[in-house]
Amino acid sequence: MKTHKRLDKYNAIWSSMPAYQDLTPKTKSYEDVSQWNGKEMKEMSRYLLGVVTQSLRGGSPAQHPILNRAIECRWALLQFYMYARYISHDDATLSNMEDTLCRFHTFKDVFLLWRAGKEAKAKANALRTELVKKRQVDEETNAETWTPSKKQRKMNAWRDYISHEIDVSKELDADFNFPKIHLMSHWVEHIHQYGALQQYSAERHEKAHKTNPKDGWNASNHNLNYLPQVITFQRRILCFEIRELNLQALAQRRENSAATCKVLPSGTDLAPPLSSKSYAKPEFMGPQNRRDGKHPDAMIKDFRALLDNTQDAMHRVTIYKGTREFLRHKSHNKMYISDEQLHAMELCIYHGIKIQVEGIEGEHISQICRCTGSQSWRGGNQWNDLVWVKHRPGRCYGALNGRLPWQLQQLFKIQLLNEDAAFVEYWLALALTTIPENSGNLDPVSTFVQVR
Amino acid sequence: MPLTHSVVMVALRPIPVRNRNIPPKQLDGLRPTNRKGLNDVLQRVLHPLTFVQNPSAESGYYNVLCADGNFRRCKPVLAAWLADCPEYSGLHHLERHVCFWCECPKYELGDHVPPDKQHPWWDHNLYRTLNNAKTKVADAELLSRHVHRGFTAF
Repeated sequence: MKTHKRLDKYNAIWSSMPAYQDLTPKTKSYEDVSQWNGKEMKEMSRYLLGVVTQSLRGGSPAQHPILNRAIECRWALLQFYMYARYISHDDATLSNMEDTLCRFHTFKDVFLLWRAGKEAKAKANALRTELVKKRQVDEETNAETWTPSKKQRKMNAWRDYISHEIDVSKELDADFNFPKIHLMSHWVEHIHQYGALQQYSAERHEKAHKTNPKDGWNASNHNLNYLPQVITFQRRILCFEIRELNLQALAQRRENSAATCKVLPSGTDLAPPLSSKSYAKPEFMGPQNRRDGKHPDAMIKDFRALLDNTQDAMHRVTIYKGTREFLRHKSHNKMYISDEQLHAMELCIYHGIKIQVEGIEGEHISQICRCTGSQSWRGGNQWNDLVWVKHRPGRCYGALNGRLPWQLQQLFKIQLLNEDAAFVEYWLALALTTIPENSGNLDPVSTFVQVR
Repeated sequence: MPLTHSVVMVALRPIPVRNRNIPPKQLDGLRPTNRKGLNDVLQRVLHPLTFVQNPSAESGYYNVLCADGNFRRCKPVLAAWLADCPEYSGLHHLERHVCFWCECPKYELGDHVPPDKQHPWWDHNLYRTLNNAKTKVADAELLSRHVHRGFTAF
């Protein structure tokens, strides 16, 4: 990037990457980051190719082959990385892995100049000194015969020649002979023998180096016999954690057996999972409840605050109407809820919800749905995500399978007293509805279902 | 991705002091000693986990409380390693910056190797035999394969 004067452009595009979904907003330019952690590497792999491609666009015709090779090389390496992260493989994916690795090795020579080590650089510097001496001799010999313009041309030719010779010298002495690049050729074989690579990640073990000995040392009496104390301490902690997990699993099993259906205020039902696997309970982003069951202090709001957060008059009317109907439906005596009672009601406004969903590979991943209402998100625009809502009960056929994308507008939690005088929590959501066009059938041109 | 609970600390291995405080000449003499110390510690730690050295039906077996509440008679056996590249080099008694999977020469590490033209794998039995031979030819053979002398861990 620096050689082709694209570093500023690259940094500008890098810094302007939006914090979409679970991507972390960029606070530093690419150059300022001194060390990458695993999460940042995974995130970077999702947009690196786009950033590089945009940065290397344009340029002179002489630069095009080099820049294209650089893009191809990065593309192949990222593809290989993506394939390696699969949690299951078949012959096709392994064959693709091989192909991408072969492509990477084909194009990697474009980065050879920057692989020059100390010896190669020293050799190149010696060559430069020798060539400069030759140039001086040539200049002195022909000082009387050269005109100023011819001298300028000769000097330019010498400069290009020296630069070219140094690059060639560096490239001849540089190589990619380091273990990490060679180990990639064993990955396919490894997957064939032992399965997907993710289960052999060493991240956990490396992390354990950081915490286990330090915690054990801090808990010991710092005497000469601290080593057995460190081991015993860690073993005790592990036993407690395993027991806690077992108890949680038992409690979860009991909850699943007595699972109840939740009703949304608009009368719609949450879209059921596509597979028979049970999904984890959604996690609402914000402070947790206090131990006495009341709302956390920082999040306590009243109904007026909710209305203040809603700028659209139609939305306010809908919140009034929907909440009142919901409260009436849920209250055991079905009494009418007055405006005063509604305004005095305590509620928590949330700006996001973290949900466990099934990824492409069948793995469980966390996705964040944000709903800031009319408030801005991190100093920018408001952020209200679209969610899939099943608007038709039962099994549906068609492209959307009975689901429609609705845009969240408000997300809040209320507590009601049930018949046993115990608090029950309900999460309510206000969403902008959509209507499918063309009866929900695919558009013949774009092959998408259009909604309005 | 393995869980945090899959990692259990069983022992703390002594590590040599920081190399930067030691003169280079003294460091060259210390390195074989450090390697030998590591090899001896590994041999002692892993001895109960090797099935070959404890073939009898009762040695090393004990009752384990399993997740279903039942006790089972179990014997832990060393099945595989999981480590980073520097640790692998230490475990396999190899020189630094070589492949710990195969006998690829150092000057060919950057080349693309198709699956059907892979280099031969490390042969620990061969290295143990060469190490026990204690001849100049055997030492030269070990050196050509980037393996240090004193290989006894496995």
